[in-house]
Amino acid sequence: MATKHSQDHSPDQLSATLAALADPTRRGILAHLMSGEASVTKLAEPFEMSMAAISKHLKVLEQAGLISRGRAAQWRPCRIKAAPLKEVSDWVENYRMAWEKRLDRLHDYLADVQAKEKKHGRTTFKGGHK
Amino acid sequence: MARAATTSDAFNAVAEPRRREILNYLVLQERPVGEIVDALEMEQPSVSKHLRVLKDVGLVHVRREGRQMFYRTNAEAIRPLHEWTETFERYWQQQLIRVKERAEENQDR
Repeated sequence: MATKHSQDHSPDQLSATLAALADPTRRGILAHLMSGEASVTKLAEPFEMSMAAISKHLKVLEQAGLISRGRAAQWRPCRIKAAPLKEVSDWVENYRMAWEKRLDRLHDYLADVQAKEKKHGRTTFKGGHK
Repeated sequence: MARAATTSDAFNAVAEPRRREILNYLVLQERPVGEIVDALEMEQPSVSKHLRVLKDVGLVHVRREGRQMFYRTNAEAIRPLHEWTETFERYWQQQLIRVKERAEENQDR
């Protein structure tokens, strides 16, 4: 897939998205933007952080392609870009489904063992009587 | 302060393609380190390093049996990721509905 050459400098989009999400403030910013575009001032409100700190987080999100910032308006509204986030959501969902499948298999196995035990009567060794 | 959070963050732990590969492999069943190394064709030190990151955020659990270490995935630890994606999915569904409505409006004209 990815060549060795590209691995060093450009991680795959999913990894880049996850790395950008690996911070509660940035997740908070994205959650806010799900209800519509917002200015930096507005986004900074719920966080006890300097504007500079918020701007840094926004830059990380922008570089990862998770938000875009308006050029026309003076307040440069931030908007969420959902497509890469959908990829994260799909990965998590697939992983969870793999887990559930495994649990189902385990249930089947246990049911099978129980059925066999019933069929063979009390074959489990209880106590020490012979 | 924002920086310190990342290494202990589950999102950071899965932000590495090799670690996701390891998780997807372990989700099927518990495995000793050697088997992970062989199956994924990775270097042992690299696997150990990745496993440590996954263990630190609780995404995998480890058990010693004799001289071997067995790793397995922990479903509980995926919860913070899942909770976030649930919020996102609600937003995504709304967007889809909006797109559909707009398309239908255009058709009616």
